[in-house]
Amino acid sequence: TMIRIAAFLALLVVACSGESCTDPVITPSAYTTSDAVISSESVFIVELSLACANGAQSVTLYADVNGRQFPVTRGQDVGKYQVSWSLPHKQASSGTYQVKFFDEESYSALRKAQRNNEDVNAIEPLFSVNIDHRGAWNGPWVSTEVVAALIGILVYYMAFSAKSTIQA
Amino acid sequence: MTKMLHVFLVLALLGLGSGDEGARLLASKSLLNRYAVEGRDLTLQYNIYNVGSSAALEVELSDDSFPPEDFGIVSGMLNVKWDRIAPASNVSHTVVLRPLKAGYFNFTSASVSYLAQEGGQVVVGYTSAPGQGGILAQREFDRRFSPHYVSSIQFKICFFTRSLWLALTCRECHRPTVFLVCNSVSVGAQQTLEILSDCCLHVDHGVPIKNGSLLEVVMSSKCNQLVS
Repeated sequence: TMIRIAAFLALLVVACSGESCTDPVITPSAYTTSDAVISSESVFIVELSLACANGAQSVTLYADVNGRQFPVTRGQDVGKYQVSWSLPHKQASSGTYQVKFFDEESYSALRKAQRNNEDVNAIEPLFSVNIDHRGAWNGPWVSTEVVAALIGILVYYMAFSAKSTIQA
Repeated sequence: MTKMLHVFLVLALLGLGSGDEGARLLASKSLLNRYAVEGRDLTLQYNIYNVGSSAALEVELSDDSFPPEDFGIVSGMLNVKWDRIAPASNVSHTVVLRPLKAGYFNFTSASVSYLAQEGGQVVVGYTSAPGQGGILAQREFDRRFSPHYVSSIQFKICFFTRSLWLALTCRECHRPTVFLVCNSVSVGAQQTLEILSDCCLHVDHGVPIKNGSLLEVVMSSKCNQLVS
């Protein structure tokens, strides 16, 4: 009976967890913060449409970005997924970020590898998406006040020298 | 021995049924913006924490507080769901909108629904609300906070060539000079900038600047007066 119960529980776990997806076809789109003047943090958003060869519609996905993991959010529409995270502007360096997506099976393998300090790169994600962050614009390097003051001094100097040449 | 086991089983079931009440979610909604500006990105972040003792299931977050005539969606979805949120863990969700109108807007809460336990009743709750906030008009924002890099470069080039040109031609004493106007730093840096770009435009066409207190400066800034 113990074996039967265990088998039943295992079946229950499989039934409860999301479906698995074969041959995923994705259409991703990404957003990253570009204006650091008005926003207080840099955010990254990856939206994607996912189609599976086996017709799976509610796949539970997890994302991994530079060793940080996030559960992937499902949209109201079938096959729509979103993952988003935020970082302080200074930590959100510009460049390409690789977002790896895992299904439940590969995600648990990833977690296991992390716990045992094994090579996490050996775990194949279901698919991955590269997003480009150009960095957030922080306003001009030199504030306009400084520029205006410098120009003011320069103008004063030029006027002064012009005056003395004319007077001479 | 078997009796003891039964007692334990009953206790465990009771614990599940009533004692800890399963999952308990706390949700917040916040703006990740220093300024909300018409036509610029407005970032909203939703955080959901499970402070309960078991996983929350079928969690749905929906925010209907943004009328489509007032806000456009840049990125992200306003109606989303998670299959489960484990106890003592949190999820976050971000949406970027674009306000289409300036003025005051009341940022109200979003709703969250979930199952506190398997087969339980649906629990409905609300996120915190960021509250009333002002959305700046784009022009107002540009004027106050964000001098355009392009126009500032334009201004610098214009200004330097003009002052150089004036420095050379001023000796011939034909034109009103820009020097005194530009020199009036006392009006404040931001205004100086505007005056400077103004004087580039106006002096170039020989039209005096119509700015009250500065008018006399311009009028009196003929080269001969500069000399005297």
